[in-house]
Amino acid sequence: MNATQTSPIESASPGFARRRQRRVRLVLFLLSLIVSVTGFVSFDYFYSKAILASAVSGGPHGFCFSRDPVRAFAFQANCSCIRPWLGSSYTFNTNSLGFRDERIREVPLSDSRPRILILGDSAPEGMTDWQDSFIGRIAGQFPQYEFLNGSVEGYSPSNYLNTARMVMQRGVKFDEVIVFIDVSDAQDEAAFFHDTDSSGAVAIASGKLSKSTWYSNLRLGINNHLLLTNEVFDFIEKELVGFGWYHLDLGHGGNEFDLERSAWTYRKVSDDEPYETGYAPLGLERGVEKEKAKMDILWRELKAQDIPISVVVYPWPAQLAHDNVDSRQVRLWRDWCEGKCTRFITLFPAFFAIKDACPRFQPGCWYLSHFIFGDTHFNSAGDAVVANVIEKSLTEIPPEKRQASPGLEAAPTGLTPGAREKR
Amino acid sequence: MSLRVLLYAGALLLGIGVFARVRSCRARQAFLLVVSYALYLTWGAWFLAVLLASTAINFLVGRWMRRKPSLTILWTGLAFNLVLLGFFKYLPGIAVSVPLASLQKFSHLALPLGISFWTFQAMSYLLDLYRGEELDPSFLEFGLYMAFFPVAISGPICRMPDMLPQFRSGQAPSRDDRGRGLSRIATGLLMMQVAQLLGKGILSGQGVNAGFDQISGWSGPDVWCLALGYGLQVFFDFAGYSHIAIGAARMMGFTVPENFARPFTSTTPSIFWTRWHMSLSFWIRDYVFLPLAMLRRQEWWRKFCLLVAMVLFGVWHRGTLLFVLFGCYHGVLLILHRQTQQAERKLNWQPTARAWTVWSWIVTMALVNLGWILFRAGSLSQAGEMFSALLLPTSYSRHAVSFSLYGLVLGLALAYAGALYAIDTLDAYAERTAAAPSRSEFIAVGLRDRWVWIAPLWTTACLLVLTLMPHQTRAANVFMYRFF
Repeated sequence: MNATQTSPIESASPGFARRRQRRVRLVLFLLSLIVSVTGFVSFDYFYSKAILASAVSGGPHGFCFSRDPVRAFAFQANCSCIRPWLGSSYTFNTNSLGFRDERIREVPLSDSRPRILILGDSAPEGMTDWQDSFIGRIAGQFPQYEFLNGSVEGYSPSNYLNTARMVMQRGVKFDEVIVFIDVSDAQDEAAFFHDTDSSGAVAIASGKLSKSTWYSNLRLGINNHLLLTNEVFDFIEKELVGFGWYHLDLGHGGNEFDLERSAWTYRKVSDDEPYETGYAPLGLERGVEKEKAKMDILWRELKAQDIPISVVVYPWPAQLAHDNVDSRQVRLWRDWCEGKCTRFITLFPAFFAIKDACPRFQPGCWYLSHFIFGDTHFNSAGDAVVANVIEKSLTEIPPEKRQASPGLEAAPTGLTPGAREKR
Repeated sequence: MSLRVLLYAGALLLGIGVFARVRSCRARQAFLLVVSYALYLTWGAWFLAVLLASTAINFLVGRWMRRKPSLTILWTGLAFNLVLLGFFKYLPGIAVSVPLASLQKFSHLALPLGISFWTFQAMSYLLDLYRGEELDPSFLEFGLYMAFFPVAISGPICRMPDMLPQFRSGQAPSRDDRGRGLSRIATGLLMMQVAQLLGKGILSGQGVNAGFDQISGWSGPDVWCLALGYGLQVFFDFAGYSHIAIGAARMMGFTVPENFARPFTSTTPSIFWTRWHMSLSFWIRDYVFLPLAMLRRQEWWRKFCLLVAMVLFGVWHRGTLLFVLFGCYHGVLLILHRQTQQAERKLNWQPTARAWTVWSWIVTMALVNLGWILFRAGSLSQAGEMFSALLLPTSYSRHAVSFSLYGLVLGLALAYAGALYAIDTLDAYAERTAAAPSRSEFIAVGLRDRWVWIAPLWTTACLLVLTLMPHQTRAANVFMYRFF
């Protein structure tokens, strides 16, 4: 460059040069940003591919599911596998009844200890290692009782009944049934399960409709293929949820804080759309009636065997975010329990107390601390809360070994003696 | 983010604000001292009491020496500092290893944070006074010298002749100071995260920490991987911290000594020790090695002094046999290097070929990195087992350390080398274009305002390191040099 030459920056007027430089800076920043993001995502893609490939080859991954002529699906008996669940995994074993258990084992027809049959959905089944799940914790705390965990994800009262029948038909003796009623049971009865005949055998809805947005698709893609990017999104979403922004759509079927499955207790839901965006064909109210009817049959059949029944209700994140402690779900099952249950336990007060204890600047802390992030299931801390409440009830009203007197019927007019509501 | 980090950040922001507006030196000094003591107090009131006592006694000894410089007063002051350091730093270790009932009560004595750093600062002040340096700090200035919050916890070790004029300056930090300081802090934060990643590994329980603490039956390649991995870990951790300390001081307009200058590019052990923990190695050179070496002119004495200086370097970290061996090892390396240089001179051989430099670098790095085994091993037997694995040819056919750690160490070493190369290339290009301005506006702005395009790269690198770190152990982040 000779003495008469000037750079383009120098040759322009000061104001123009400043504006121009600002534009150049912006372009440089954006270029760098594009290069950075592209580099990050490319690295993440290959890294995630390697990690996911090594994870799959690292153990006997599976679900231990099998088809069942009565319940549509059930767990295989004496199965062991590692089940992946939302970015982590846990060991899963079933016993000879096809129930989740600490280890593979043969369940004898009877046991010298009082035996409690647990019926429920995925929450009591536990989406974590056995010792962290609330049934595993309770079983560990009360070795004087034997727990048979007949809970299977996706089940509802139709299959609670079918499971109890299966156990009785096999001649396996038990002394109490505790049913964990899930808020999604209403939709399952209305739209997912339908009776194939008068025996109570069920079949499931053929299709599954889910509402997806561009964001939920993107989020699901990131979740499945880009582990590091997913971490970044998780971090931001956790902060937002912590600040009380209850919107979390990770592509698992909608906003975790307003899923159609759990919304019926605090808002109107669709009776026209099929599973799982609505409650067709039966509609919500008929679905609720159906689940109560199935529970009535279960109660009657157990009563015929002199087996007491207990009911537990627990909240989903959506209910904690939008509902209240005296949710329609709580009232419904408390009323149903009147005159039928040994114990009616609601976990709503315990979890609302945790929510109320969150600091003002982090009103959503309850979700981060007690639920698996991006899920409706309790995490280890949430499971501990559930276990604690159930353990208190088992201490106050200890399960008793039932005398073998088939056909003996009691005729309770109110709550059975000693029964009380746990709050 | 811990409350203490927030407090330090708040203090820094407050400091920048005060130094931008307040011109009175006294007011500035008083402000800095109060903030420094307040922050130090968060580590424990007892720690602050020890620091205050040391400050008061060293100030009085210094004043005494200014009036009447004598070797007796100097030794009184040095003895006080050595006893203080020995009492807190070495007595608990002795109490654990010596089965004497009267010593047992000292076995759980808490080590005041940064005592090794500010005690060495106090000793250098007394030594400088004895040498005739014109130092007349007020009590306020001396207190600040001892407790200056960016450096009080883990250095760099400052010297009074450098700091006093800065304490007395009423100049406001410039925009350049703030910019450079911020970039140093950003660099430091990234480096410290990289150190945490190396410690924990990409996969849980497969980092350098687990490699040393949870594995036995190492193979030769494992030991090399762990030695290099730990070398990088301790470098990123301490150099990262030093960047933050230097950057924080710079943002308030202070220039404190550098601690690291690309030590992994050193081609001889001597060069390495002018680039690694420079504030300590220069302290030992100026106040231990040179005064000792000048007592006698014989070559063997100089070599002996070198050995003594390096043992002191090792023992400064911790008073264990492994650290004595670490010092001896490096002392021997320095002596061997001297011998090699003497042999070269005798033979009148001046190796200039690039290949020789590369070879020298490889040998230096291999030897320096092997030294980290003594620095990091949990016991003498562990260090012995690791060195044996190195010498056993059959062990080179297997590995006990996870491949993910091999990949991580190699990847980070290459990334670090790449970053250095990129910085050098940019600097060289900037120099060339300064002489003959580029016609491209993009290049001109890109070279001048590097933060514009470095900021997204830095953010991405931080995100990458943070997301790669296994979640379950993320809470246990600890700065390693805090324990020295």
